[in-house]
Amino acid sequence: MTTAPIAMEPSFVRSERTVASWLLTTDHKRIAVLYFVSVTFFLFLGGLFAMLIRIEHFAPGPTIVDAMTYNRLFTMHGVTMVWLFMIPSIPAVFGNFLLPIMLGAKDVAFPRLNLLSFYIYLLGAIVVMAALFMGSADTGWTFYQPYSAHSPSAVLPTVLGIFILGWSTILTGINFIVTMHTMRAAGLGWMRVPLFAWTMYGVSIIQVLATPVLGLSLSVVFLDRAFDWGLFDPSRGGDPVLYQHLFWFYSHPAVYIMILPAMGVISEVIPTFSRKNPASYKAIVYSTIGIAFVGFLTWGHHMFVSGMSIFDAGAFGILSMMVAIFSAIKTYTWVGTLYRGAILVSTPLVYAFEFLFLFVFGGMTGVAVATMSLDVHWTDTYFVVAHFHFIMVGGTLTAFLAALHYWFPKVTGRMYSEKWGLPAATLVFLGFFGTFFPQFLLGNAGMPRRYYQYPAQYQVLNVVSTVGAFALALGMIITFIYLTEALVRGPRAGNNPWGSRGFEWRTTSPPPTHNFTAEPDFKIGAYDYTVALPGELEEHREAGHA
Amino acid sequence: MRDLALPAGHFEDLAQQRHAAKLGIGVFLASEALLFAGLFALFAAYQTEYPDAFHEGVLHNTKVLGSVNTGILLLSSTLVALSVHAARLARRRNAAVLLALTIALGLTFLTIKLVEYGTHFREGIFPGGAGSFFTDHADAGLPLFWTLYYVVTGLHAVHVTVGLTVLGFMLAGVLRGSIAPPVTYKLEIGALYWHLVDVIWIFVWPLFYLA
Amino acid sequence: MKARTVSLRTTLVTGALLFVLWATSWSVSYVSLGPWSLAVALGIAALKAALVALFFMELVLEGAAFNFAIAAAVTLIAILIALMVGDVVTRAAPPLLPPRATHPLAQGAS
Repeated sequence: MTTAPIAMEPSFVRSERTVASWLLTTDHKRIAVLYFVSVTFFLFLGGLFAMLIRIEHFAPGPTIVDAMTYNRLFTMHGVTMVWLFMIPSIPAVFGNFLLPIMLGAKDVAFPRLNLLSFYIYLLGAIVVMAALFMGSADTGWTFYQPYSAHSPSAVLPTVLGIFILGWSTILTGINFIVTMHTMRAAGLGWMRVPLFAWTMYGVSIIQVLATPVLGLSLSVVFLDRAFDWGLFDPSRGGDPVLYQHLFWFYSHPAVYIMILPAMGVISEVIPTFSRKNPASYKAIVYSTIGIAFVGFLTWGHHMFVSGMSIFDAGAFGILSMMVAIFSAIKTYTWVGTLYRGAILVSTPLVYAFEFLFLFVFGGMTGVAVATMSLDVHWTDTYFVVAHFHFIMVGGTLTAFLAALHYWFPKVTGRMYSEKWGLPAATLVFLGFFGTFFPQFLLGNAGMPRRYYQYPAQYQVLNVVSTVGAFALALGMIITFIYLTEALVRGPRAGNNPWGSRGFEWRTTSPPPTHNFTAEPDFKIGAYDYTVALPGELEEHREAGHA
Repeated sequence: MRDLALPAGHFEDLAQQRHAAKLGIGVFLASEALLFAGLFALFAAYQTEYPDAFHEGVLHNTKVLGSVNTGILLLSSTLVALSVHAARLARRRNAAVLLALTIALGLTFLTIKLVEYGTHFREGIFPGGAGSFFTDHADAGLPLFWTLYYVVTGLHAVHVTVGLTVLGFMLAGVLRGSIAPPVTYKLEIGALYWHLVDVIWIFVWPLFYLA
Repeated sequence: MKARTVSLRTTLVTGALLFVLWATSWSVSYVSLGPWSLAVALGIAALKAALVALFFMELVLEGAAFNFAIAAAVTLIAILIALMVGDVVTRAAPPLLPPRATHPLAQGAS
């Protein structure tokens, strides 16, 4: 099967300039941009909720909000960050943009379904925002029964919005899976596909199989609340622990939905900036599939103290340990890739270093809380809060920023300023660490999570955490300012400013609408730095590098 | 008449388009299976907690109607499979008739379901343990059986309705000639969805009516 | 990408088998089998589902990718049910070791 070469065409940005051509596009790259604008908005909205929480915790007693508002704040922070930012972020933005290009395809398998996914996301987001204006839910993002059935807050529109969002992720997942199977360029076998594409595949499998159970859990909350059907009402024989089983059966794989794409980004950044192939391509691939599957088996570790049986607790504890093995394999492989590589220090790589450090920190504390005898002490304290923020912010958000900088020239055709990138990355790291490391100490010292007030003995660490949060916020704001400036006025970047072997760098920056102007040539592998790309040696000589 | 063999622009050829469509529906059906799985798991857990109440619930259910409905769905799956055969052989009229019969059976299923619900309501069995039935039968767990019954069969009925709508579009396509060789895979996709609706009911029937 | 199809005869035989199993299941339900009735009913249901999946949905012809999607879903469903029911079943189980009467906390020691 061969494609006829496409004549020289304008980039996907310039091909059509009307608003309608953007809002009704079926081009996966434009859809990626639409998602980017949306998820960035929700990143900052969720961040705003976080800042309000941290300001509230500056002092032990009431500071800026009352108790009920505090509960709504941490609920909306969780809902916004998890479903409106984290889950779509890397797959819907970078997955959409890059997956077809990395496979040498013209688009995803179902382009119109892709656009529908975006509008379903937008609809879900609007419903959740409507819930916000109705005062939000106060149940925590987990909507535990039976309280969620009786809470006087806006639970119904919140769960309805999340239910709608779930459809978007399922449809995107179907699209990516089918694209991987059916749209690869001729001759591109599975074991030559870029590692980021593999993580898009893995995350899609999880999304497709896990999200329906979330839909079910939230539907039952809806029915119990709207019609008083009491499926988890103890007075009618209901068992609230069963709700937790259903909720976490989705929500634990959900955290792998959030981290796998981040791992895919790191698997692209590290080889490029060490100019080396990954220490073991297969190790990354198999550990990706391993996480996708074993991640489904560990949900009960969120329920150690909820009344679940000891037998189940033991089973889940062991299974939770097992899933960490795959993350360890990846980490060793990444470090092994850096070793003896030709390192180019740049903002994407700095974020990758931050990822490695913070992810290992977060991952090891994950193994710690998976130990039931220890978790009895740490559960529902700030220790757990710190653990998952190390993974989600220190891991996923850091990788999102790495991806943003790494692929910025490819998407926009311009280069951002390293002069700003490196200091901002440092500020983000210091701010993050200052925010969340004290929370490990607070949790270990016994400070519970989701509590509006705390005893005075915890104030010092809370103040440190709040100051850190301001630094993190400042770093994020600075980042988006200089990136916006680069978008408008940055110097033109060539097709391959990083000299990467990645397949996406073999087309123009930005790419044309159909991704490649001629049949893509993937004979040289995506990580093969032992040979020069066609034209690369001549470009180097012309640029004055001997 | 538009050339049926022309694939959409981003596909290389029709075989790739067909492969993508079949794989896509397969993955979607897997997600639908997981949706009902959560309900089956909830049922299994509650049945383990309240075995006697659940057995009592089964005994009180409208067994004949439920069993007839099972037969109706099995027959409808057979007919839609036969309609795929007919379409592949370009027997447009046969395919259309078989599809129409499938849809008719599906509508019959829904009608019988409504009759069942009416029977339950008249006996005072409402979801959430509401209704006079539960004041007379105060077994712990009985309200859960019946609420689960309404949730599971209700969700299934929604899927039957969606399936009938899909089959309706299939019928229109067959009659118009846009679903014919070489693109009969489009009918196969609609039929696959209908088969899943049948498979789910195959498990609903013993749990709520027989055991 | 399979161009093969299930034969018409296979479809008709599958349909007939489904009805036989349906009638069997219905009849057997009137026989009191005690705790086995659910197992028998679900077993027959599994057979019917397999027939629909293999021959009506033509899984018997499809390639590895399609079957993997189905197998993955089935496995996960089994795990979900097993661990949820397992929780309920084992909640009343006694601890593996009896509590030590001489535990320091039991004696009020600091």
